[in-house]
Amino acid sequence: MTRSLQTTARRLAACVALSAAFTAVIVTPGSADPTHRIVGYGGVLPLPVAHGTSAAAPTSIRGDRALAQRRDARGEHGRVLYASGRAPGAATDTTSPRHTPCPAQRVAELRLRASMAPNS
Amino acid sequence: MPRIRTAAVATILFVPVVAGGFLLQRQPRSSGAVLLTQVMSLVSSQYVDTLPSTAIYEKAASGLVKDLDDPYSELLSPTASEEFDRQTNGRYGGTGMLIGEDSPGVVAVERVFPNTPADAAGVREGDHIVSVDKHATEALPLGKVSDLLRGEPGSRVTVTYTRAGVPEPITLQFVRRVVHVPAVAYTAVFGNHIGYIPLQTFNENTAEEVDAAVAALEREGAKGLVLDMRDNGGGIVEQALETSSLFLHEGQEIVSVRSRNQPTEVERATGKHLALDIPLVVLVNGGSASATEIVAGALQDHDRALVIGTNTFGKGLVQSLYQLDGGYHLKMTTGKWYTPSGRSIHRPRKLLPNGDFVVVPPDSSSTDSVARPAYRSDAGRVVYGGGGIHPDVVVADDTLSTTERGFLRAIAPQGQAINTVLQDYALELQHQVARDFAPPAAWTTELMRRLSAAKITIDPKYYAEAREFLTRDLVSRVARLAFGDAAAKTRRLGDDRQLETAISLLEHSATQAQLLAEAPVPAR
Repeated sequence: MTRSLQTTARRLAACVALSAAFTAVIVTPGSADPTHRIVGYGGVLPLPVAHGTSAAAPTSIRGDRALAQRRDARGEHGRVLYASGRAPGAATDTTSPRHTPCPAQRVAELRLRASMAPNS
Repeated sequence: MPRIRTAAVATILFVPVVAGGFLLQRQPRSSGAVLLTQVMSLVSSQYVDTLPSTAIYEKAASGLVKDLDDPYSELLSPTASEEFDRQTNGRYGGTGMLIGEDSPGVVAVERVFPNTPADAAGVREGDHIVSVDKHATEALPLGKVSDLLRGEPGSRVTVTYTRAGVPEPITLQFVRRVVHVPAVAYTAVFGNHIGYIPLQTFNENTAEEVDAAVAALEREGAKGLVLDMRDNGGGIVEQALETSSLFLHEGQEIVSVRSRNQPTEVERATGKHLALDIPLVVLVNGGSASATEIVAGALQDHDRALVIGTNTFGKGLVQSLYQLDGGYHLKMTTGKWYTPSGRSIHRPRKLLPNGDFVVVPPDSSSTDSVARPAYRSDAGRVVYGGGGIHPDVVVADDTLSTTERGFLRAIAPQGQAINTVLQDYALELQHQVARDFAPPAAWTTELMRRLSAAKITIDPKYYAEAREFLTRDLVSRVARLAFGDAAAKTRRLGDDRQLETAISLLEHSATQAQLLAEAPVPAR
């Protein structure tokens, strides 16, 4: 029994090492190709990496995109239960504020400028 | 046991394979959001000109609202929000003038409002503003000049004017004060005790001012009222509700608003009701829009007012104003409103780049010959839906004769010079008249002499029209300067057929029922 456990432990260690190596091999090619280029009108322009980081892109855009992608991934794999209307793909999921603000005022106007009113 | 071991080994091998598969999967996208971020990223990094990131976000947001193709939805910039707020608030910090452009680059004082810094400093209507705080006005758009003159109450602004007949420019320093924008600029009593309330906007003061005006006119013995909402472009919905309530009984429906994802909201008369029995005429025209149409529609449906004039604009939509971060506001159409009888008076339009609205064809209500849906008022009168509030009594706007139009076209290039002569002469005459003054013939003679001295030429074929037209203008100016707007309006009553019709019908009606009976059968 003891020998059997030792054998199992050895095999387990070997498998973990093999799995880690296998995973590393699989993951490595996942990054986008930063040298990818397209030919545009007037010359050759580098195409910014759509998923990766773009130095010129505002930080908040990158942040929003990364968050949206992660959320979409979770949603598509069925690991998140979304409230009605909050599921990825709904118009409000990534761009609208979490709470719909209340209107400050209701107006019904074509123009507010009165003809006999001071303006200065 | 071997089977357990085999299973454990298989599991240990399987987990990383699955995990790797997850990691290898292409990142899923929410296509709309990714499209937006990709475009914004490319514009930000690759567009030929550099754009600040805030500008990119604003353009994206503004473009979205514009692309709704709704002429009434708008993303207001912080500056536009301030202007909107100023207009709806009915007060701002400033000098108390109405300024306009006499001609391109020439900023003229059109009005000086009483009890304001401009009034106290002696600014005169017709003065030309040449600089504000050392900024020459010649190169500035009118709105910018207004912006320079407005500011925090208590702050100072230095203004340089030129005045006809004064060789040197006049420089004045003002301390800005809170300036009140009147919804009801004045009231008047015409004919046989007919009270007149010109209501020009629905700002925060409107219901209060209409309330005060009605009360004052009733104290003066008014037996009928004219609520003049011609060219009133609307404003705050709550003010329209309060104003309607003044003339309706508690609980009567004013308007119902249907919005997306919300039950229909029915707004009813509540609060103060002070003019329930006095016969009432509402004047409207093509410039009467939105909140104005809510009031006119409610009073027409409940037979509380006889509506006189021409068809109204036809804006049956409500916008909600959302406060956003950074001083922005989103004004967005969120509902469609219906009068108490159930009519929508909306007429679809598009907004052209030059700011003009055009009706979207086909428009079933653009001509009187096309059938409009008919509804019934409380008393069973026929009222019409479709485009705009259709008046119970149609009276066309006053139009100039062919000769008058020809004369005005002929003198247009000399308009500023003529205006200066008229204003200067009126300023002299204002101290020489009694309230019921009749203009002596000598005024006309002297006016024509002054025009000639100012090298203003008038085509001989229009000379007779010029004498009559310009004398009427002079008399109106003198009356306004000496006795205020009501006196001037009284003097020009003959030029206003719609108001004359209203007064005439009210003078023959002791009750609202009689007034409605007096009205001819509505034309379609």
